[in-house]
Amino acid sequence: MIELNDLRYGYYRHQPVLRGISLSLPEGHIYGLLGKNGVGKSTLLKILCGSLIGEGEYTVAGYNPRRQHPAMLEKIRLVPEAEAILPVAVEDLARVTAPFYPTWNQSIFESALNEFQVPRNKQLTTLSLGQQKKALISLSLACNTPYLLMDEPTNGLDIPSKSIFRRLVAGLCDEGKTVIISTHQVDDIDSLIDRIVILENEGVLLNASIDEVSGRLAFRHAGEGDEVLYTEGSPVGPWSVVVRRPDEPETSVNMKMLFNAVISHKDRIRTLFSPLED
Amino acid sequence: MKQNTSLQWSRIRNLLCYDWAVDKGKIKFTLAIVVGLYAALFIMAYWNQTSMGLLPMTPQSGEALVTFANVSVMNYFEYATMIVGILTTVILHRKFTNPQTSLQYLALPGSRIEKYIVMLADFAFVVIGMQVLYLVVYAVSMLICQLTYPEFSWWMNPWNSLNMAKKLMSVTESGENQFDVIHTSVMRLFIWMTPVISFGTFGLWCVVNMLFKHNGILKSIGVFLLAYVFLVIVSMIVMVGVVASFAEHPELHAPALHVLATVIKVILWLQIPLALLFQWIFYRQIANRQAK
Repeated sequence: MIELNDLRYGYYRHQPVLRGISLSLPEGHIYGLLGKNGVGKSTLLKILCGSLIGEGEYTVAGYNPRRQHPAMLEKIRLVPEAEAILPVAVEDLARVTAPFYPTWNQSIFESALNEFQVPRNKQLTTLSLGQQKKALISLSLACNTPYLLMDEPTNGLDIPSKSIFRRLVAGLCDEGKTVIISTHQVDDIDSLIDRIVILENEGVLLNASIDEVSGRLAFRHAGEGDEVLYTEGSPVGPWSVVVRRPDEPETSVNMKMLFNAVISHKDRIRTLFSPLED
Repeated sequence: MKQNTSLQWSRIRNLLCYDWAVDKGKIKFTLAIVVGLYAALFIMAYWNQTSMGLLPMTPQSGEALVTFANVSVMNYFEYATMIVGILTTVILHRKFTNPQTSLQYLALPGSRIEKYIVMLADFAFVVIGMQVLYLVVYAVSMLICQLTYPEFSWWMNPWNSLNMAKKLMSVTESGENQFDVIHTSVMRLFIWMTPVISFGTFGLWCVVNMLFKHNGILKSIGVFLLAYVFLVIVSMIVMVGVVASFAEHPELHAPALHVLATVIKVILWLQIPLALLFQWIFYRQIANRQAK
């Protein structure tokens, strides 16, 4: 369980990035963490893994991340958006990283590298950006930690690799792990995540499961009497996010439109989902 | 308890392995720079003496060799220490304040204390490397001196470094130019203050960093240089004062020399622990800065 209570953080004293985030993230889900640029998604992930120290109460698996307790750090792994690329071979990096993670699984590492077709004996610095990313994702998956945080993991991946990524992460979820994926590439993860968190500086705009979203909102052409939250053009005419009528069938969630609807109708969304968040 | 200790050492070993694996390129580069620097400075000093017609060695140029070994090389060592200090500053600064590398390093499972131990090991590597190279240069100089002009070899013994004050006494009484003798004595003492200045610089650097938080690499180097210049000036003033007081108050020579010699010996022995302590303070303030 990850619990945040009035979490605050700023890189500079008078420029806070996070201004009081309160959030509960139960285990065993794949979370999509969305938000505009600069709302503090990456900062939040770094705070959760103990690399940045925030103010307020927050715990990961019952530990206080600001203490950087080894028992907590063994349970959490972050894939940063931009990581310092080291001049070592992939397999060497795995060899020196593995001892820190009691849950390290060499077979996951081998199979992920095989699926991504990453050469294991070449130096990371000689690989392309996409290959580097795939190697680091493979490494983090093999750490096999109960908590896996990923910041823009699909940036730089080609289309087949994105499918492989989704398959590998989905496989992990079967084992009851908690995965948080922060991304702007919502198309890459829409079939993967089962809960969505939309963040802004002042707090959490939405924290709901996909089922809850499709139960409350519908994504279709708007009709007469619909409460429209957001509309955009499409080849088949205007497409809208509307408040779902109790008697209509559920529709599949369009992440991009949901995001725009949440951003443009913050108060209405809070009202719609507030009982669920409690 | 035993199991916990064993686990901690295991994690420290793993951190050291990780540290070496990810940074061995930088460590080798630093070592190459340090060795190259020393070699270049030694050659420059030798060439400087040779071009003045004082080398190769003859009995008449024995004193020149002493000057070469005793002052030139040591003075170049002083410059080398400064350059190596700046290099160390840059590497440590980049390693522990760069968001990418610090993220990667700090996110590894290990307690802060365990990480400090590894960071100290990094710094000790550079410090001990510098000391070893210094001793090599010193030993080579001493060997040349011993082989070619034995009368001056005692002059090179670090434990007799303050014997120059006795020399000062005898030559002053013999009517030799007092200013030159004081100048030489100040330089001799100053050379032995080098490690104190180097590590004092790191100490001042830590204190300034703690008082005025900043993340800029140029500011970091600037602070290092200012601290260095400040300590050099202070040391020179102190040394001139000490030597001048010896000349003016001969009755104080024996007890003052004894105290000064003891203090310098203690500092020489303590320099590495002191350096590690300073560095520990530095890393703690980096961690505190990140914590804020």
